[in-house]
Amino acid sequence: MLLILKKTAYILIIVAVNTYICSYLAAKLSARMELRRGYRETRIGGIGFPAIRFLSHLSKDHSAGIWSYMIFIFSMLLWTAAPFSAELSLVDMDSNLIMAILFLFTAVILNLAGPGKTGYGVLMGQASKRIVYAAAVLVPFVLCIASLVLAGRTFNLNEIVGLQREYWNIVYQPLGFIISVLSAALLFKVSGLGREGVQGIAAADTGGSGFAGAVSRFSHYSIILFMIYLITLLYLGGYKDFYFIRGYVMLGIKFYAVFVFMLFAAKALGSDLSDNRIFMRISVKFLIPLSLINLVITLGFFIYTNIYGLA
Amino acid sequence: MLQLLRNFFTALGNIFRKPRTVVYPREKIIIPEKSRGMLYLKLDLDSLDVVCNGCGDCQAACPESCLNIKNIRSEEGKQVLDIFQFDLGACIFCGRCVEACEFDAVGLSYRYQNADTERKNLVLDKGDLIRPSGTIRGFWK
Repeated sequence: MLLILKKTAYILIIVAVNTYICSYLAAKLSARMELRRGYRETRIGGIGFPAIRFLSHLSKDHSAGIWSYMIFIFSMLLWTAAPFSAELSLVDMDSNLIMAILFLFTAVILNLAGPGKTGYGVLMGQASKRIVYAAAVLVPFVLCIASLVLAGRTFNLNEIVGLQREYWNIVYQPLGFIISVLSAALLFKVSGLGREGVQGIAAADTGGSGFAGAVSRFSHYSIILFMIYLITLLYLGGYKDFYFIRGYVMLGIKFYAVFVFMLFAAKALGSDLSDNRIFMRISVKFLIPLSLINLVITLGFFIYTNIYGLA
Repeated sequence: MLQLLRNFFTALGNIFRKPRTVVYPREKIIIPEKSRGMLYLKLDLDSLDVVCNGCGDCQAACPESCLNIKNIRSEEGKQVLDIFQFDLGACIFCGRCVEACEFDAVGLSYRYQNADTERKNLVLDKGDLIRPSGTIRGFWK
């Protein structure tokens, strides 16, 4: 029991600290990408900026809805599925990749498709649009993971990390990696974590003030970071040692590299995502077909080499 | 797809470029050449008195009627400036007063940070308009 509590505390601290750093990085780098100086009212180059923003949320009165807490709980539950190292994982089961994907689905759908404001009775306002948005983000990501599962023939994240002993999966599935990062970038944008957000979607809920606003923002970050963490585990060898560099150091380096890459990708997607057609053009006409092609190529390659013993 | 790649590399390149904004009011920029700021009265460098003789041409030219000028006769019988009131709150910085002045006695300075909480403080008289600090280029450096 104590061991579980200790592990939970470790994981919570890791998630909280990294969310803080990522929030700072996102603000700083997006400012530099737009040739802005960025927020420098706080000392040491604005390192206290996320804390000040958090406190400024708390200083405002706002009624918190049940959905904010639901999303928060699921965004925390996500981290039970992913192993931080061979030892540090809360739920050690054979199919923890499926568990991770299911939790991610629930969190993203709650985040995007859940009713943000129920005050005026619009329980499922713009429901179809929100669900299509969630699908547009998740379907390419899941198709890429399906390709990896086909290649690795396992649903266990520890085993997938172990299989990348010689070469990381990015060597075999570069397209899958790019599509996954672009999906994360899309989610980053529709969650309203960029400066612009997407009109009518979660951005409207994130913009809320008060405790609910702070919780909602933290949850959005948690979901995005989990997605990036999964990409790190699946494509970049996760927590495996790299020559003389310890595994957890490599994990941190890779995680932040993917996060920064995702920030650049989010910026490259443009700020005009408020137009639904552009959003759908990126996802339906680009990400989903490419991920399907990736899946078909992987499947074709393995059928051709008769790895499944079908012939 | 190509646009996506182009945007990606533009964003990447911007990281290594100098930011184009400043954190106002901690840092300030040098405002562009020929910017129009607050009106000022030019000084005669020999006598250190204002060049303006209060003829009222600028007052007549001002479309917003933000100038109130009166002159008096000096002991030598010369026309000299007595009152020069300028309502900064009404000024639209069109520069007609400068164009209308035959003696080149008024000019538009680069001073642009003129906000005040009281409207009455925006009505400036002769003493406020000859402050040299308002006329120096790069005042806010």
